[in-house]
Amino acid sequence: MSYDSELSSYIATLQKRLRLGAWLRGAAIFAGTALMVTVLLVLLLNRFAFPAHAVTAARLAILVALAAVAVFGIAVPLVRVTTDWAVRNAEAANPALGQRLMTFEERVSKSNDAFLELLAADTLVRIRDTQPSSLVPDNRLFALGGAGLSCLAVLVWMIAAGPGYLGYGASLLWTNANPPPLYAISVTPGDATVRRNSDQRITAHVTRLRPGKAQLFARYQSSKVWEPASMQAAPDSGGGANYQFVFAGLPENVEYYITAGPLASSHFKVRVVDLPSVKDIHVTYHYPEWTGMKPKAEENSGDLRAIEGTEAVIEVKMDRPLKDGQLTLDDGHAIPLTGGAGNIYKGSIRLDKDGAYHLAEMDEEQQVRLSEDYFIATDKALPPEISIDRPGSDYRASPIEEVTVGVKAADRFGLHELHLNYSVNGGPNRDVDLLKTPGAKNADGSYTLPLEDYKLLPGDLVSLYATARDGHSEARTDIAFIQVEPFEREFSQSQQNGGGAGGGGKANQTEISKREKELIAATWKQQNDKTSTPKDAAAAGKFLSDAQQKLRDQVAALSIRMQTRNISEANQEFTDFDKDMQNAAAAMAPAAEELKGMKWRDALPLEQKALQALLRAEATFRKIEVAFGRQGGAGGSGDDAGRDLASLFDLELDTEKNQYETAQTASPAQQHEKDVEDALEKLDALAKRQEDLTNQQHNSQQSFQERWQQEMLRREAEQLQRQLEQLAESGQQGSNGSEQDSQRQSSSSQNGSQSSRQQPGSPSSRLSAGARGDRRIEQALKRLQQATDDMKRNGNPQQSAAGRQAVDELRKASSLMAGTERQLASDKVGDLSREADRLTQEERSQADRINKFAGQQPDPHAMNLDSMLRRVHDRDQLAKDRQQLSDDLSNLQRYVREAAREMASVQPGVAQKLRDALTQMDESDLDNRVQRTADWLRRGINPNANGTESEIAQGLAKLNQQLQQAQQKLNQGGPGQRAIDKHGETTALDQVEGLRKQLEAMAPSQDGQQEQNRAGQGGDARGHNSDGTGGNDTNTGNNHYQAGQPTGSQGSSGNPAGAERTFRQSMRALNQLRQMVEDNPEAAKEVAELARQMQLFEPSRFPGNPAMLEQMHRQVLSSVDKLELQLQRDAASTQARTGKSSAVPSGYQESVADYYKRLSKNP
Amino acid sequence: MKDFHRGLMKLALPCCCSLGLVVAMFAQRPFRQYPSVEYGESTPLPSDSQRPGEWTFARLMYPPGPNDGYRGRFDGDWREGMSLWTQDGPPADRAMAAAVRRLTRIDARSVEQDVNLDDGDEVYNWPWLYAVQVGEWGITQHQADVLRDYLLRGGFLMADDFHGAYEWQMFLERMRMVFPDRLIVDIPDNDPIFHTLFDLDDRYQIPGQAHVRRGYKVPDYPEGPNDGKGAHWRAIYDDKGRIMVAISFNSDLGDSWEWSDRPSYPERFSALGIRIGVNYVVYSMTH
Repeated sequence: MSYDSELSSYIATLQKRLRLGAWLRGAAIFAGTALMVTVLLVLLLNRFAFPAHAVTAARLAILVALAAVAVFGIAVPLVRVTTDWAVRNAEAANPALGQRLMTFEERVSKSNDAFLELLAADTLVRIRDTQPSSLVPDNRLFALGGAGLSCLAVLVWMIAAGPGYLGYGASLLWTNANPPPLYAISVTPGDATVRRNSDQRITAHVTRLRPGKAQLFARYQSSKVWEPASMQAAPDSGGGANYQFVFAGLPENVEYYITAGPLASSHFKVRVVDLPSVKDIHVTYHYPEWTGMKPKAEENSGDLRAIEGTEAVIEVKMDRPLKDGQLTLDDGHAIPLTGGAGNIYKGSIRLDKDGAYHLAEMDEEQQVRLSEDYFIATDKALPPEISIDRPGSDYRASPIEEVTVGVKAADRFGLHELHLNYSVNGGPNRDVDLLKTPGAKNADGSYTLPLEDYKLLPGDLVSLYATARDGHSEARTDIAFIQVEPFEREFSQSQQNGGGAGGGGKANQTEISKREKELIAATWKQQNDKTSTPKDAAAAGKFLSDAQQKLRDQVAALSIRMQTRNISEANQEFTDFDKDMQNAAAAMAPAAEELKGMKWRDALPLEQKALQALLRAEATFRKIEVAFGRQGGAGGSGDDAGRDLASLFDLELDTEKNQYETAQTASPAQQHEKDVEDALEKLDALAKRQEDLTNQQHNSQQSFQERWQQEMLRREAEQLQRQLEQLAESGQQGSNGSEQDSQRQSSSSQNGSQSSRQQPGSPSSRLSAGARGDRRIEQALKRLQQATDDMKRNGNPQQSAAGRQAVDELRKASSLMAGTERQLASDKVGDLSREADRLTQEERSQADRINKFAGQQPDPHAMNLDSMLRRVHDRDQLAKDRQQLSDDLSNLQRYVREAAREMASVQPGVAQKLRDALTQMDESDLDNRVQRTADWLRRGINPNANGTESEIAQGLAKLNQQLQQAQQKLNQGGPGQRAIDKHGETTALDQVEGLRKQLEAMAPSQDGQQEQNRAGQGGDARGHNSDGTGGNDTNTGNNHYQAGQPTGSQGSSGNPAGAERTFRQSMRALNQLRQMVEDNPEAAKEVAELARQMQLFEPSRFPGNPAMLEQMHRQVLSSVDKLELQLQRDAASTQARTGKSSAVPSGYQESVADYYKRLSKNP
Repeated sequence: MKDFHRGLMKLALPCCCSLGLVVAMFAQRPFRQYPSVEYGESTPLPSDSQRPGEWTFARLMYPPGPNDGYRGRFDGDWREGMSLWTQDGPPADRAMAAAVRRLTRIDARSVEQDVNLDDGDEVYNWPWLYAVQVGEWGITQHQADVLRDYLLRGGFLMADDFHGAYEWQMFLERMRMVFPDRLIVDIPDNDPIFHTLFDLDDRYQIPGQAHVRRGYKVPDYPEGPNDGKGAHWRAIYDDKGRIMVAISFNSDLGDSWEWSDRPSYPERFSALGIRIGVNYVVYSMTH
């Protein structure tokens, strides 16, 4: 290649390089500009909520900006990059060229100069330092390219997936897509047609924006001016804002639009037309045929209330002819109205569920409402109620007894059938018709089962159930059993002598049949459960099958182990027992299979057969006990067999199995108490709302708003009613359970068990307390039912007093529930007091025994090994009993502490008494003293010797006395203490005092922490003492580990749930106080102020700012002070004047209000 | 594309789980019945011996110690059975497994698993371990190290059937190789282990079958007339207060299981032995 060609090539490369640099720079500027302009425009548009016209302008602006950049940033620089420009750049960058390159460039195109070759060679030598890449370095090219690409990428990302308004705006500006507006104002109903002079509510919902206000601009047909009106803000749970405005009595067409901040809605029109109005509504109910009820007509009532399946024919009388009228249901479904003669139109609605409807007319394809909403309330068609009231479940009869079975049934629409079904030993089902008068609403019948005729043996059983049917459905009772027992009673001294381990005095042999009975009852329930889904049924089948299989394994194991231990052949009774067990296991195996396949009907006879075999085995077992148990475990192979059998039984059916087999998170009694408290709270709230509503209602005709509120209240009351029904049922079950427990306990004590202790205030004992409250719950339920009925009638103009009656019924129900709550507390304290009494007596008895033991000085001459061992045994027994006393005392202490904590807010006085008892226990060191004496006894030291025993006796007596005082204090109030005494300031003052204590308990200061610390210290101290005694005594291990256990004394103040509960109780107390002072305007004002502050003080709204919380608490307490002062002043003045405040007659306020209303209407 | 990924994930999850299960199953040693000192190789297998369960009775294999009572009679390789550690097995193990299956909701495997601490990580597959005749055992330091790690990682050891002060000393010596600084304490009556399934407030001494008449075993080297008398239920706790090693000193729970269906052995001993064993199992599975 010649030098000049080489130099020409260099110049061309240089030019290309410069051109590339210009390109990349232009592209980077272009992309950067696009991004920057887009962001700026989006920010600008966002301020104005992206108006459509501005978007177009913004797009134009982007276009202009980019065009300018394309021209000035890309095109112009590219045009500028000529050969001359490139050469000049090279000369400028390398002065050593000395214009050689320029000279070459100028001459190369003009002539074929011979010197050019030389010039080119010389220039080539000098341009080695001026390579194109040094003029436009690679780094710069990469930087420019990278910057351009980055800007482009950011822009594309913003357009495609940018978040928030940036992404929305970028997408709007750059794409043709039409995304839903980011900020929008939706107007309801938009265009509408209404009757002349009626109201029309306009609602605007602003999305993603919270403008300070919204304005409605309206232009009436007769005017040319847009009139602005501010809209009223309404609450909105989403991220936007709601506003509303009502056009009142619209006389003519109106056009309107709404502005909110930068947003403006489209224009809408409300068309005003002259439409007919409802003069009268007449409803005829056609009840379902099965009810046997005749059609019933109701005048002037749009609301529909009837049993489900009823056809309600609605006749509407209009004041003028109606065109395309319809009944519109709340689900949007429309029922056309027919007829028209005499302006009367007809339509019918089938009542299947609760809802609402209104009358409407179609006008120019728009639905125009002609009436307000009417409610549809559907009563469920409940099946008949039926129960076997005699002889009670699981009756035990002798084989020759005549057992009368009594059945009771009731049905709202009349009974069609009433049957008793029974089966002897799982045999064929026998049916007895007990209904004397078909169609009767209440019926009872009885049937006598002559057991002698069935030739039954001990262990046989008769299963029975009753059915009742009305025209619609059938109801069945649970399955019950009559169990045949030996004619003569057989008693045993003790079945446990020398028998199994771990338990004592448990009648386990009945547990096995009990489990089978439970399985039968569960199978029966499953068979009759019509609501169970296939999935639920399969799960229940598997569960029951597994349970049956497990029971079979245990029964079979019992039989096999009897055989392997040669017990089964000890004598005929054992052989029979084994045979019955085998029969039971043989019947259980196919029963488990049937249960797995959900063949309930096929499983039941097999289960009953197994039960029969088990009962026979149990009857035989009792004989064995009688035959072999009397000797008290002394010698004899037959006795060994009897003991071994008892032990085998005990192992397989140990009822002490605890939480890992039967997991329970909360005890039934605790749950019951909580449910009662919840129900009481809801009742209080309902009563108050009903009262407010009744007070608002100034005339006999309710407004729509009032009717709506009344309907909602009624539905809530019905829900609460169902909750109370469940509560009553659960209480009933608890009662049965506790009765069974007590029966079992009494039977176990008969069987020689020494212990019949029951934990005071523990779940089992509290359950019985809960059961005692059931009657009150049932009464409360009846009151609530009555209140619900009153609420239903409250909508009826003829029943204006129904609202007031509903309030009264609700108040009575609330009072009854409060009584139940109180009863539970009373029973709890009663249990504690009884336990303290028992411990006092036990201590006395032990002291006597210790004295007696100490008094029996061993005769040194007659000393032998046996007498020494006996004496050691007696001493150990005394120590063991004393240890038990110590444990029981510790438990009592724990339960008293729990009770004091629970009652602190409800019964402060009683709680104080309980706390006093605890303090006394601590001061007298009772717990440790008793423990110490147990240790002394173990070492053979007589605690009576140094006076400790008498101090313990005194301490226990004092504890007993204080607990009795606590119980008396609780009983002093009587069952009606919580009932509201409207005119007693003293009661109100007491209420304020109680409220103050509750509020003080809620103090957000460190009190709670201190209490917790105290409790913790107490626990530690006890632990140290235990350690201390343990160091000196033999009983080391136990004490060591007790020290580490939690004391269970969580401070109530430190517990958020406790604070919440105290708050709720305070609010309830405040509501009651409101009732008490309603006739005292000044006190009522103070109460209202207090209520307002209490709302702010609600624990769930705690802002987590202790200082602020403290301040709020002080304010609330200050208001309580003011209220107390006010009430004291009133009480004093009342006493001075008359001794009794003047009572305002019921309904006086309403009459006065009505009087002034009429006065204003008749000038 | 998204659907494809989702589908792939759906497929991958069960595959991984299945793979994990298969690996876990093959990681465990298969069941092998070792000849025992009392029953030789004649113990028949139950029909469901191949069926896996939620819990398995695992028996600790260990070398005999210096006071091995079978010295001179069974001196073969302890790893092949016919050694001290096989005492009462397999009937005791299987009776206990059957009781667990019947009296609880735990699905117990019908046959035992004998575990050698020298066998890699095998012991970690069996959370509950039973060791018999621990007053005569002779575990090595390596085995003690593995046992310590196993226990600290949540394993449970039930040490049974040793009597008298001398055997206690021998047990203690080896146990100190496992835990040099952890105390052995009496289990308090209110410890959950005695109330986990059955309430076991009354616990009496459980003698072996050969000592029923006397009520306790007279140790080979008695230290006083009452040595070996009186039941002691002891334990080693972990730092959180949970029992790692449950020790039944002066009692023979293994015999109470083994002889539970023999008329010559009083039922009340079996009843308590089974109750204590079941409580230990449920406790170990839940704590």
